[in-house]
Amino acid sequence: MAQLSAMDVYNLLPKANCGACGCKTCMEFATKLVNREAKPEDCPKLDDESLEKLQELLAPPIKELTIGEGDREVIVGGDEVMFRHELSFFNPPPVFVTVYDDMKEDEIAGKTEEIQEFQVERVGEVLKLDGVAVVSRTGNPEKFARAVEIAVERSEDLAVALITTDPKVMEAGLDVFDERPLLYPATEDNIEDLAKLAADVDCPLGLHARDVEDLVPLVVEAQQYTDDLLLDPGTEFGSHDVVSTTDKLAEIRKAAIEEEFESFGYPTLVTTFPYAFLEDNHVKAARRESYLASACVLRYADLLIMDTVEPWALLPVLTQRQCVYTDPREPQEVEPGLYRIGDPDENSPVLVTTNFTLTYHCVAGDLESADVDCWLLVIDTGGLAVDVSVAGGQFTGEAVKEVIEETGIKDNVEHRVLVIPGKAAAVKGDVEDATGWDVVIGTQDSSELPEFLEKEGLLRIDE
Amino acid sequence: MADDKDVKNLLEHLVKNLLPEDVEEIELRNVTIGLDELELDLKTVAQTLPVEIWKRVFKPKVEEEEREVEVPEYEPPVEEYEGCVAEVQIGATRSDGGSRDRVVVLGGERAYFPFEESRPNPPVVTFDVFDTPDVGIPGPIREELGDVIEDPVDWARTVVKRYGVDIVTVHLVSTSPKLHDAPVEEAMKTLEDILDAVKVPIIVGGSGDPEKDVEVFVRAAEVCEGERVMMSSINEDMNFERVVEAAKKHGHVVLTFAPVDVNLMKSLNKKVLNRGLSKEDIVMDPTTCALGYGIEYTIDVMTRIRLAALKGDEHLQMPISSGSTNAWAAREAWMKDESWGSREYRGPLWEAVTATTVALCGADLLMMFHPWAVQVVMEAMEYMAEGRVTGDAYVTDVIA
Repeated sequence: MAQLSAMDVYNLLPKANCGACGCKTCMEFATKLVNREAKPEDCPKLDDESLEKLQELLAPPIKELTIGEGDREVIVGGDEVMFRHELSFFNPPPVFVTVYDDMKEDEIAGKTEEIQEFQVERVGEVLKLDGVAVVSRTGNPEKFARAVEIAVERSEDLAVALITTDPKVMEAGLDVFDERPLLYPATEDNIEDLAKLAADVDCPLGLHARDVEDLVPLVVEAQQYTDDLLLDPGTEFGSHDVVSTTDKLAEIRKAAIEEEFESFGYPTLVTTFPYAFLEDNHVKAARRESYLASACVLRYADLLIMDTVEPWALLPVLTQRQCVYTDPREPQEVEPGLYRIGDPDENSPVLVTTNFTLTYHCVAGDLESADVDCWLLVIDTGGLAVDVSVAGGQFTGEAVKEVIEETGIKDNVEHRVLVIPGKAAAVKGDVEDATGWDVVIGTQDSSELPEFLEKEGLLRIDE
Repeated sequence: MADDKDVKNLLEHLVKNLLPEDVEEIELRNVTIGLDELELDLKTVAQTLPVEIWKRVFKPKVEEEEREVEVPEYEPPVEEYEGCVAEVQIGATRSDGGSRDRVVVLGGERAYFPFEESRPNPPVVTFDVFDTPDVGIPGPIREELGDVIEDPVDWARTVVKRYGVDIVTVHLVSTSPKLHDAPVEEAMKTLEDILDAVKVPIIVGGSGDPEKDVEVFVRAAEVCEGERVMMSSINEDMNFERVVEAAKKHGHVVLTFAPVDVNLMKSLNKKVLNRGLSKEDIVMDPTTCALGYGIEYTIDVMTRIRLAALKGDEHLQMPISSGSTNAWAAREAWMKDESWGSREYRGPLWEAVTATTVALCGADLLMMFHPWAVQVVMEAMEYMAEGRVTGDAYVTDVIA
């Protein structure tokens, strides 16, 4: 698909340069619209017709839609490029975790609470789960309704998915909770009933077929009733899972974006939870789920439904999501310069690190949590990590010298000792020559730094 | 006014008595229906007719209604690419003048996604072997591999036998002036012993010291004459021209390394090509940042490199290698932290996910070293060449 130009958008704007949208000119606003940094509604001067035209022009080829309402709302889809470097990917895929209607009631409650409370912190960001998926294994409407009831009761801000092929069971679930849960799976056997039901209650509908082309008639049938669809071309299980599933998703995405094949212009959905029933123990299942889900996050999954709540299995998936959905247009950098950790004085150590966001957060976080008082000199490596910038020639004596001079650290401390990262050992001599300071090689990982500083007597440097 | 029943009876009568089986349409001529006003609700009428009659009377119309919803024709979006990736062979059998019992061929891609065209050669896993255990091998790897890490020959032999890997990388890290500063000849002895001990192709890894590595590679090129090894790796900070000369003279492959930058990668490849090696003698490493530690940069750079190759950029049409063991640089892979769950499973997953991510983006050679990760990834990568397979279990099999 030809990338939309700012000029195409500009032509639909009032060209008043009034500044009401926060941009100085309409051209600037047009550029922001194309880059998805602003919305057409931000312009107060647009008449209804132009607004509609503009929205249509700017609508991404992959439909953006919501699941849930209020605190329970998640947004899926909305992508417009095949590769993140071409613009950015939007709306990180929500991760739903399952409970089953054949579990004991207290188990459903317990697992829902685990899903609700799960959180891990990485790079200053809290990673959480997004939804609870209630799965019918019994086919019994009362049991399913009860499971939905418990899952909703025991969660606060989780979106909900109702999973059954039986329209009767689905209705029973909807009787308990109808605030836009995702209904899934609509297959060739139940498509008409589920699509009608989804339209009646205004809920998004997940379609399931066993291969890409089998999805087409399902989409067409569903579109007669609703346009809030998600596509599952059949998540694969077994040693071929990763390659086959990601390949199906790539095919769908390429057809939608590059061929403008409209039937595929919807977000995709991947289910890894069946592994809980297909593998013979829960470790094997969770490993396989983690591996498959992580790969699908890279390749076009817009929503994941998993079974595991093991942190070791979820961490790779959530980390992959955090990385892949980082906006490549924004450098992953913190401001180079001098940072105070704790309450440092003239005898506190001076540590050097790079301005890659992750590196900085790891180092600062480790020092802070160990209550170390020190000075942290952050050099400009263009946002590269220590090992990469040493190899790439951005972590040099000259770079350290520059930041020493710019920050005036010499006035803050009486000593002339720098602690550089263990992974920068190769540039020790270079740093010494360029700065004239004594250089101590620190640890490979900053988690070992507090102990190292203590052991080496570096917490107070008296010359 | 006639009610539904009357009309039904009329139609039934007409159909039964006037219509031969093969007639699809009737036209009534000279028929007078003596009614003041006729209101026909065909739907209601139709529902009350016996099925076989209903079908005969209304079928043509119903068919037309169904056809209103047209299922669009679907063609998989297969793209024709102008360029392709070169095939690079590592290792040489007796007939090629070497002593390996098999070779490894990397690259050859003519498309980006498997559905467009599967890869001629699947991504290959090479097991990392270090000539000294003193390089900070992560705890979980030590536990898994046990004593064999004390002896590189034993290590190489074990991983080939136990895990069936197709190729082994021998990192001669002991030569590093910052580690043991082992003499080049001592490293060559290790290399020769490994060439004797295993019959799979070999990659010769240096220590990362820009001066010592040149000496190691130049000498290794002589020692491994005929075996078509790969020198891992050369970069702009070293006198790489000498290594290229030696590789050319003795028929080896070089791995070019650049730090996460398409243009730096391209410029180094160009220089190596200008020195007389061909695309078939070069593999490139544009840096693998671990999952959570910049993997998105690697994703972008590898994707852009591969797309450029398919578009016809000759300086980027080489297979891609990935140091997937870099996954262990991520603290999430090895650090004990209760909130992250068991590190026994976390580390190998971290490596497997890192390797698979780069392979999906274009990598052809994956340097790895956790046995579980190696096995899972080797199994999965076969399908990159075999193409998409649909299985026999789906979500609908486990739900009601």
